[in-house]
Amino acid sequence: MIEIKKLTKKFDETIALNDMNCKIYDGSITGLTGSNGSGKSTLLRTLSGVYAPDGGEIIIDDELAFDNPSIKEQCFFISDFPYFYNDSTLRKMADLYRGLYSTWDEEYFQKLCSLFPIGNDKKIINMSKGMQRQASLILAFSTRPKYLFLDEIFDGLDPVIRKTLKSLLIQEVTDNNMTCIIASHNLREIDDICDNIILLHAGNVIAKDDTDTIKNRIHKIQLAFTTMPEGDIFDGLDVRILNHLGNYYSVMIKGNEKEIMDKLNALNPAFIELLPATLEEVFINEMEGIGYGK
Amino acid sequence: MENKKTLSNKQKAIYHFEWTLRKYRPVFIAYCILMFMVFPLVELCLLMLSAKRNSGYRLFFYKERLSTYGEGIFLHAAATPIVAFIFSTVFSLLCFSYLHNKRLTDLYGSLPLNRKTLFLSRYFSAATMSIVPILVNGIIGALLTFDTNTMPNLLMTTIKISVATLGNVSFIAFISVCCGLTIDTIVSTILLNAMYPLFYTITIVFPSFVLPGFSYYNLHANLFTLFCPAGAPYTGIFSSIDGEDFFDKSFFFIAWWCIISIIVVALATILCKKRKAEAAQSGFAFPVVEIIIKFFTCFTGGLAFGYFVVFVFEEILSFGLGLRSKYFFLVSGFAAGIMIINFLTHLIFHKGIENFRSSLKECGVVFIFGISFIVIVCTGFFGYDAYVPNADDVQSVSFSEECEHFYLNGRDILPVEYSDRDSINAIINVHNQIAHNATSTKYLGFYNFTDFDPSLYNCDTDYFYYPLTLKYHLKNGKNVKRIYTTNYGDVDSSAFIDALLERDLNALKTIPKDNITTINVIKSDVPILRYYATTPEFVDYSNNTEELKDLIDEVIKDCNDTSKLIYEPSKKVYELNINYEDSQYNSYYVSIPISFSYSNTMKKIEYLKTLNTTNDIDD
Repeated sequence: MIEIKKLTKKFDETIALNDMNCKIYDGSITGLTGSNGSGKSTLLRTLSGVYAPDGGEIIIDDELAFDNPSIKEQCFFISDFPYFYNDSTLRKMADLYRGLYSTWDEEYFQKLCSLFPIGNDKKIINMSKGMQRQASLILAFSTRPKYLFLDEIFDGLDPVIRKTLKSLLIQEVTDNNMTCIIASHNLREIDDICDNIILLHAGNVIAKDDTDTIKNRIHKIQLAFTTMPEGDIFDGLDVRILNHLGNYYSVMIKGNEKEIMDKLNALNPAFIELLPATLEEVFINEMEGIGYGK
Repeated sequence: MENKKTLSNKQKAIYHFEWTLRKYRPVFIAYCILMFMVFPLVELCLLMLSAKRNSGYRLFFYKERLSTYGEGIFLHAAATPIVAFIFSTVFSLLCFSYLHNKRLTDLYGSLPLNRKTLFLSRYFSAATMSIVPILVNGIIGALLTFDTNTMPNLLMTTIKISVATLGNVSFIAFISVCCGLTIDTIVSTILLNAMYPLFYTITIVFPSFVLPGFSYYNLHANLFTLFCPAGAPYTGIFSSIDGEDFFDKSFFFIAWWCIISIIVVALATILCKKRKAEAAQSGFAFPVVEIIIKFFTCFTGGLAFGYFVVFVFEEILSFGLGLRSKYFFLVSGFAAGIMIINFLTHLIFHKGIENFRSSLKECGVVFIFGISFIVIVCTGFFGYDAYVPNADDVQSVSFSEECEHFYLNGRDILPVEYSDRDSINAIINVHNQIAHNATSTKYLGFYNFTDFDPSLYNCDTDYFYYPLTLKYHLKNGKNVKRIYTTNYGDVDSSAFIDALLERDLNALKTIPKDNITTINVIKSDVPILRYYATTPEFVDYSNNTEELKDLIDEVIKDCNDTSKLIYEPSKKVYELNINYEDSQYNSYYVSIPISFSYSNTMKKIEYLKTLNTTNDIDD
């Protein structure tokens, strides 16, 4: 389990992570999303031991994670722009990890090499962005990590490889109880694969819950009236109007589904429909709710 | 999933070390080849040429050349350090580049190694790749000489280059930890290697222009490159190559570079643990390197600029400059120089003028240090200028070591070590007069720093000048050395000369004739009569060598009316030089200008000359 306690990270005057607290349980896939500069990549770098915390601590499996080789050996981090030397091939990079991770699985490495069609002895630097990410993934899975940290991993991957990746992640989580944290702006992919979501803004956790709960915290409702009721029809509701045309409304309302629907039905709408909110709509609503992007 | 046994930190470090060696193998092979071509290959070719011609003489000649510090060693000493410096810098920059590139930092920072282990494994990789080819080629080269006399020297040269190269790797490791950019690491390495020797030079040369008794002769080659690994092999090898203490000096050289390497790497390791990964590609992680380099650069550049300003104004102002004006221009130029150099280094290191204002504090520190330095030096360095040891504290004293004759006010002061009280008192008397003359040139407590005149005290010949060196060995074991390179006015050395003449006459009276090693009678620099006790086969100017010893009796007879030797150098006809030893085999030397006042001696010389007709000595 990963425990983040009062974690603070500063870059000069800028606070990238502000007194952050959260727990990530084993065998889960957590999606890390948020506004630009919200601290997603910083959090992953701090988790993987690249950055030292300026305050607070990260505890993995009851041990302080920073500069702890035995903990780092259970983790693997793929950054948003993985580095490869000019002469690096998959085989040469595997040579680096093979001696540093006792969990290195040569058989699995060979299997993954055939699964991802990129070639063992080709220079990685000459490959496309997507293929470079595939190379990183092969290396990452071959170390059989207990904790896998992926930063914008879906960037540049074609739909087939994305599907393969998702299957692999699910298989690792199911079979080996792997824990994965994926930082991404691609909310559809996060929605697809993640059990939990952490929503960040300006170094703070805005929301953290399982995906369904997050999505159920907000409701997209379409309603129309033959005669408009008197006064403020959404009085007492945490509402954001998406569309208003005559007597027609499309709104996002935060709160308990039953209470909202009871209140709106009491207005005798001619038409009312509750639509499932997408993660993107939830994200936008949450962000606009705190004044971001306005 | 069942994990295998976790790898220990040491196992990972060794694996990473080996992986780094494999990673840079192509560069390493290129380095090995180049290194082999630089030194042993040329030697090998010479050897094969000798063998092909089947000439034992040529092989002997080749070995002779090597054993007398010839071309083999010279090539090793001159070319190997350059190649070693370039490649060790390249290896170090490659190995520590993970500190300067954000993406590389992500890669290495997330590896299951702690920071210290990662840094040290990279350090040892760089050091191994840099040093192993030097050692291997050095040993091969030494073995190829087939000469047991040359081998130790070649091996010592190899070790010196190796430890200086280790120093270079260590310095770059430290600089790399402190810098956020590779370009800053390169610039800092170049500036440190260039500016420290200049800093050392100016801190010695400036006082030698000002401070009586202090000379740039105090410049010490090994101190010159104390923090300059690029130049260290050269000073380490060439400053000690012709001395008997070659191996003694080598010990200190090797010890220094080993110790400084350990200290620098230990500091770098401590800093590395505290270093923030986000410092990569963003200026300095720790400002210590910038501060050190700015200090050396600003002080050196500022003082040189200050001196230049004084020189320019002295030249362009027809009425010249008073001492106060000179100091005004020196201090103003110094301040301006510091600002200019600081601005330039700030531009280089910060790629702009951001935070320039905060760097002014550093300028202030350099300015205060520089002004303190100027004031301390120009006012006499806490009495250094006026200090003359107390006669009772002096065990012995010697004059200039560089020449056989030393002239003070036209009189020859023999460069021997004096331990008798009269001579010590007389020399201290002379020294007191020089110190007094020197300190009396002060104006408002300050010395003039532009009137450097190295032409007072001459030695051996009229055109070959040496500074007047006084070296005291005190009874408490300490040494005091003063080197006067400037004319501070006449001194009365008659007391010293008198003491010297009295001592010499007493010595002549008591010396057993068997202890005389050489006697020379010279006229206008041409030997007329000679006696060599140890090499009689070269005695070709006298048929009666034993009779030459009687000249001493004649000299004593001539001086009978006085307690000291008659001293009339301006009326000299002959010069009688006598070397002798005491019972402890200590050598002494007496030189007596024989004038017509030495009537008995003159007669004897003329008589001895008549016995030499068969040798065609032309007087």
